[in-house]
Amino acid sequence: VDKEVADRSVLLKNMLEDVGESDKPIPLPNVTGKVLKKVITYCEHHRNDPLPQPDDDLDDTKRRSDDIDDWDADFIKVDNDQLFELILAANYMDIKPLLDLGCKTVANMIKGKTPEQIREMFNIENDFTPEEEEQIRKENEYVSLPLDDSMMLGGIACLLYYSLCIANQSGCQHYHRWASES
Amino acid sequence: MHLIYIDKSTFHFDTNKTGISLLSRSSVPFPVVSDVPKRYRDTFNLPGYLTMSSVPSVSTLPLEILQSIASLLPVGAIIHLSFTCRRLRSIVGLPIGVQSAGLLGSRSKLHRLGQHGVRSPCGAVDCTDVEMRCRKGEVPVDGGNVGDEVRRDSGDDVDDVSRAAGATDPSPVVSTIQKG
Repeated sequence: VDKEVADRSVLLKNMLEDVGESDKPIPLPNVTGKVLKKVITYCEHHRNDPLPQPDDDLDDTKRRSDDIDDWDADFIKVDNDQLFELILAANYMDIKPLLDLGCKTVANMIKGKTPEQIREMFNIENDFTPEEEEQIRKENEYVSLPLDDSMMLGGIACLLYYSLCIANQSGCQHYHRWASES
Repeated sequence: MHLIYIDKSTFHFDTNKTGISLLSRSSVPFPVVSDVPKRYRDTFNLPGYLTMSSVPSVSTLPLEILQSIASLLPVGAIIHLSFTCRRLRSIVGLPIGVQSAGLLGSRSKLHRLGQHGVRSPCGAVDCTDVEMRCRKGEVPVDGGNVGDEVRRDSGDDVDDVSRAAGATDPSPVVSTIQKG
């Protein structure tokens, strides 16, 4: 692997600086060969990208999950096991853009899913007790109301309120009759 | 004797990932376990963490990666994620029974998921939640008594609040106590 490619990993970059010019192999005990091959493919494609600066992610309000370019989107189309192995490898090797790519992919997979769907997708064991689950279900009732529905209800309520206000101000006879009767 | 229960219906082997290679990659003594039924756990006193211990999943990712993922999600999705299992519950740090729906209208995305170091003695991350529980006298805050009134400064900077309170050791709790 070229030094330029290896330098995409902060871990390798620091190791190479410490070791100096040497032909000795660098052990990466936490990364399997299959995953390392994928990581190298990524680093080779992005070898000319500017290196991320330490203060790039200070304001995470600007972070988005939908700004993945086509090559990256194609690259990250792997099964879940490999996706998480890639994330762990990127974390271990300190390759921030690859870690970000993995996180964005997982975030995109989670968006719009119910807890059940998330469990099923990622094979997560539900380890809550039945009582806890019941409590969570109650909490979920509030959270799971679709945004569109709540916005629609709010919109209808606002329209009704403003209609009544206008009717009152304009001296609508029907409104006054209805108001006095009720 | 080590009991290793392998349920092939849920554990996916492939040719490059044998049990041996997984064993060599993990310090956990029983890595090739997809699911240990409760009756076996009880009988042989097996710890629950054996389940899926060596298979990477969203629930086994380190906390900082989970927080990074969660910071990309809308609050509703974070809450759904936190409902999946205990481990993921920790990303919002809410004890079960605390109404998380109230957080939907709270400050910016659960205070950036506790990245400002906001955590109460009960484990809750959100300041609003800590305040409410403190007001009810449920959660004693550091240095105060149960039932003490809790004042919260409007800013989000934990360190500023801690300094304002004259704390020598910055407290992980954002609220400060005002004897009332």
